[in-house]
Amino acid sequence: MKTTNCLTLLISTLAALSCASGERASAPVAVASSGDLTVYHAYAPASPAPDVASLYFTVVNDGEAADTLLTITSPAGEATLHNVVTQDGIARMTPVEALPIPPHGLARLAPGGYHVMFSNLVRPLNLGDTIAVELALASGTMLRFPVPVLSYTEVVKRLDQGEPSRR
Amino acid sequence: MPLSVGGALSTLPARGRFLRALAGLAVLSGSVACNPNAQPKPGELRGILLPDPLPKIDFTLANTAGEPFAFRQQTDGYVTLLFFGFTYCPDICPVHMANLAAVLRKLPLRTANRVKVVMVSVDPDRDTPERLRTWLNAFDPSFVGLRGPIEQVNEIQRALNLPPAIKQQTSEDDYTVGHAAQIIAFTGDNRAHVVYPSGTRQADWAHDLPLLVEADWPAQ
Repeated sequence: MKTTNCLTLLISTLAALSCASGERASAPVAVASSGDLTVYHAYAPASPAPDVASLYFTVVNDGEAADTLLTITSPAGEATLHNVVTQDGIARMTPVEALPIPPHGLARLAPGGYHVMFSNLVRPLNLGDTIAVELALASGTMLRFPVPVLSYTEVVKRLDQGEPSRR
Repeated sequence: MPLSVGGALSTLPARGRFLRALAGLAVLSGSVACNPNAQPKPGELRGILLPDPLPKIDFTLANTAGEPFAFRQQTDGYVTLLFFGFTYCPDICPVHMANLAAVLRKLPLRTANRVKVVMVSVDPDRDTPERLRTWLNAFDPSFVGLRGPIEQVNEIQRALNLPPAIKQQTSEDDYTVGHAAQIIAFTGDNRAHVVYPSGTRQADWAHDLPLLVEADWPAQ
C-alpha cells in the first residue's frame, strides 16, 4: 500500500514536471502585432533541399472585424500560400489566394495544412538563420517579423507537444 | 527468414556488409527473444489497419548509388516503411521523414535496427540520385531512396492499392506532384497490415514501431 502511494506520488510529480516543461517549451511568443492582429509561432524548418522550404505561423485576430491574409513577402525567396488537400487518396498542394482571419479567431499555418512554400530560394535556409517576412492584409495592415530557422527535429518535437490551438 | 538477409549482402561495400551482418544478428536474436504470440490485437496499433493485408510486392528500382535495389529481397526480415514522395515537397514528405528519423534515434537500437525506411520518388525527373541522397541525409543517412521511370513507380503504387502520382503544372515552368501521403508498414511476415497517414505523430510511431518489430503475424 505504502509502495503504491509512493509510486502514485512519484508518477504525479513526474507528470507535473513534464507538463511544466512542456508548457514552457511551447509558450506562445508574439513576434509581431498591429491593431487587433498578432502573429505567433513563426518558424521555418531548415531546408533539406537547397531550393525548397516552408514557413509556418499563426495570426490571431482579437478584433470585431474579419481580415484576410493576401500576400507574404520575404527576401528569402518567392513565397506562395498553399494548402494541402487530400482527395481520392491523393494529397496535393493547392494555391490559396486569400486566407480569412475571422473576428476573435485565427488563421493557423502548420504542417499538413496551410503553409507558405518558398520556391527559388536565394540560398538554402540553414539552422540558426533568421529570415524577414512581411504579411499584407486586406485591411491594409502590414505585419513584419523575423522568422527563426529551426531543425526539422525541433519542428516535429513541437508538433508532438501539440502547439496551443489559440496562442 | 533472417538468413535470406545474407543473400543481399554480396553487392554491398565491406563496411555496409559488416553493419548489415550486425543488423542481421539483431534480427536473429530478436526473433529468438520475442514472444512468439505477439500478434497485435485490433485497436492496439495507432496506424490504420487494412481490412486486407497487402503483400510485400517484388520490384527493383535504382538506389541513390545507382545500384539495383530488389525491394522484397533487400528488406526481408525488416519492418519496412515504404513511402512515395519527392524532394520538392515542402510539407508532408519532410515532416514524415523527420518524424521517423527522430523516433528511430530514440528507440532502443535492437528495435531501430530492425526498421528500414524506403522512399520511392514520384518525381524522378527532378529527383536525381544526388539530390535524393542529400535530401534523405538531412533526416537519416540510412534511409533508402529509390527511383525509376514514373510508369514503373505508378505501376508499383497501383499494385499496392495506391492511386498513382499526378503531375500538376503550377506555372509555365514549374510543377508539383500530387501523391498518396500514407506510409505503408510491411512486417516480418512480408505483408502490410497497417498504414500511417500524413499527420501521424512521433508518439504514434514510438508506440507502434516496437509492436510491429515484435509482431508475429503468420507468414504467408
